[in-house]
Amino acid sequence: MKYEIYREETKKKRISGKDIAFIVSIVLLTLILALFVAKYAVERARAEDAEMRYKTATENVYRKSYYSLTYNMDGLDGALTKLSVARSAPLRQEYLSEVSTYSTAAAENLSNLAEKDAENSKLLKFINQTGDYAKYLDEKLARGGTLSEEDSSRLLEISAIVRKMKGSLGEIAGKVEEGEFIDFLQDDESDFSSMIRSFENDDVAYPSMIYDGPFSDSMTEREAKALGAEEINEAQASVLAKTLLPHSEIAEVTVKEGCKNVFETYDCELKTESGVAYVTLSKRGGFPVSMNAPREEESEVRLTAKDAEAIAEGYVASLGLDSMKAVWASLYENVYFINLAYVTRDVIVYPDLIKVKVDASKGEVVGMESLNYIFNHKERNIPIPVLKEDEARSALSEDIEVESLRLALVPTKGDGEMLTYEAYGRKGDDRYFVYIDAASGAEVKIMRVLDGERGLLLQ
Amino acid sequence: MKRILTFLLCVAMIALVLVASYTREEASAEVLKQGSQGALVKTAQTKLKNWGYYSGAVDGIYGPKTVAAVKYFQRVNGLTQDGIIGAKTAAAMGLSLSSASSSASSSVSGYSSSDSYLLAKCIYAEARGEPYTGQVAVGAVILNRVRSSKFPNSISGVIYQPYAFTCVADGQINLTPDANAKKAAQDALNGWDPTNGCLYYYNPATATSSWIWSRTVMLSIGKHNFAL
Repeated sequence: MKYEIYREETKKKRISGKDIAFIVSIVLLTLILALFVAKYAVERARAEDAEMRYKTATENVYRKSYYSLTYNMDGLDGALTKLSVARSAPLRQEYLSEVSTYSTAAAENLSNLAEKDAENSKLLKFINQTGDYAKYLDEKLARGGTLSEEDSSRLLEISAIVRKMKGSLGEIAGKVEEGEFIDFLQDDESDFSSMIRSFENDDVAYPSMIYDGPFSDSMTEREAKALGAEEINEAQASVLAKTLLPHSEIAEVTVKEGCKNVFETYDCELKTESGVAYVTLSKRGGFPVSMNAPREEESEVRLTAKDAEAIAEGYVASLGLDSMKAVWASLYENVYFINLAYVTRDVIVYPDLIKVKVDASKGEVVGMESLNYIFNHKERNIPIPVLKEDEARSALSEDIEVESLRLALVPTKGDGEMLTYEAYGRKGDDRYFVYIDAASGAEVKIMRVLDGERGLLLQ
Repeated sequence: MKRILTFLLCVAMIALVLVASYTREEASAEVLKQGSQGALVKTAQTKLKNWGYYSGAVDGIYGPKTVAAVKYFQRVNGLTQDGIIGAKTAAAMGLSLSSASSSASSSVSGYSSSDSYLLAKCIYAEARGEPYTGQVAVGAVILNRVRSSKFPNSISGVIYQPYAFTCVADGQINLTPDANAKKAAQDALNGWDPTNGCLYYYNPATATSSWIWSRTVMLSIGKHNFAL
């Protein structure tokens, strides 16, 4: 009996021991589970919070652009309106400069509000052009010019479109407050998208703007003036391409149809001992458009800028362009970048520019590019300078110590050209190029030479 | 009794492993490889998924699918295909493995945020793996846009214009450009424009906008069509 009781008790003990272990492990597991659930919840909340903050930050950037756009369109409208009644040149200049400032800012705002899959380029182009045109008129008045009939009527047309845009922005103002820009820009049907799109239609009569500025409509109609008429074939291209790499052993040339934009080209790939070289030739006339050869990285600069200039001049002469003169040299990562300009009757013709890259260690030509020459070179009647050299000198600031003076045809802001005297001189440690209009003696432009990390630059 | 002890021991071990994995997330790792877990793995998975290299779950566990995705990323980017995110792969992914390495990498380049570096970043993100001329052409399109009145008037304005470049939207713009992309940026800045002034390019295999197809194609290089 005693034994029985003992067994009973141990049994009981055993069971209770098992129970405790079981409960402890369940509690432990539950605790661990709870810990992970809590951790997940905290992480989730944190992620959601972060996402919310990012979304708000993005929305705020869009909102700022939108409110600024409204503000700048108002300013633009005001300036254009006042300009239409201003008579005196100084006041007109003041409003023109306001037009230019507000346009620049409005264009920036508008480009920040670009929509998905949509083209809002007509409106952006219009605003950019308006600023550019106002700047051109401002400079014209500053030089003593006047606003022509055409200028005035064009300004009225511009003003009408700006007024319409301002009105449209006002109409959607309430609706814009009800949603989020993040969604507006992705939705073609949103009020904002529809409003912007309404300015892309053909029934908005944007005036054609041809004036002397970088955004003038005339700049988009480029012509490859320098190219001949006769077309070359692929076999001729293959032979011609090799002449652009006189220093290389060429194993193989592949010629493909190249670009069709403005003029057609052949793209050639040349296998050389040190890699692939690329040559682009125009179909018409087989003119060299670009060449880029592989280059072994070498650390030592053995050539002076003068040596590199002579090599570049020799190279373009070997391509049949013998009236080219080196006008600029800059060393960057052991390559000389040489600019060569066309020279006729001792006048440097800057628009007709060819760039050549010369390896500063071996003296080999490793690249060339001639689009500027192709688009600008033509037979010109360069005017006789009205000013004599000493008259040009006296038009310069007395602070500049002139080292050289020569005649140069320079491009104006649009696609015009102007005959100038180019003076190179120093003031203290700074070096400058100053351009004097050879007809009127007016200062046209000043460029400062910068010795930067990318070699010599002009500012 | 023995069974209970074994059971308890098991529970304790599981708890230990779980706690260990929990603390590991917080520690900074030198490399990420199969078996790694945590927030960094999650970040890497998110990036790989956004760029189309990874199709699995973003769960913070470096499993065989993640290994395969990393190998794919390494192959496309010309890195050693070991499936391990070491210093080089991390740099290519724009991932900082530890706080120490991230502060070092930010001061290394010397290019700072100059335009030419930004241009190289965009070229790398948009056209790595393309022929060299194709990379220069992408740079040239960006510069042509800067000059055009239809687009913003600075390199940063053009690159960060919303919806203009997919690489900006998905964050690949933040990858570190390689030497080729930097050279292509330099060549484009020096005036080499294989497109003669094109303003658009698209990949005909992936382009979704119907509008882009209406543009006149002027040139094809590699996977890209260049258009006006």
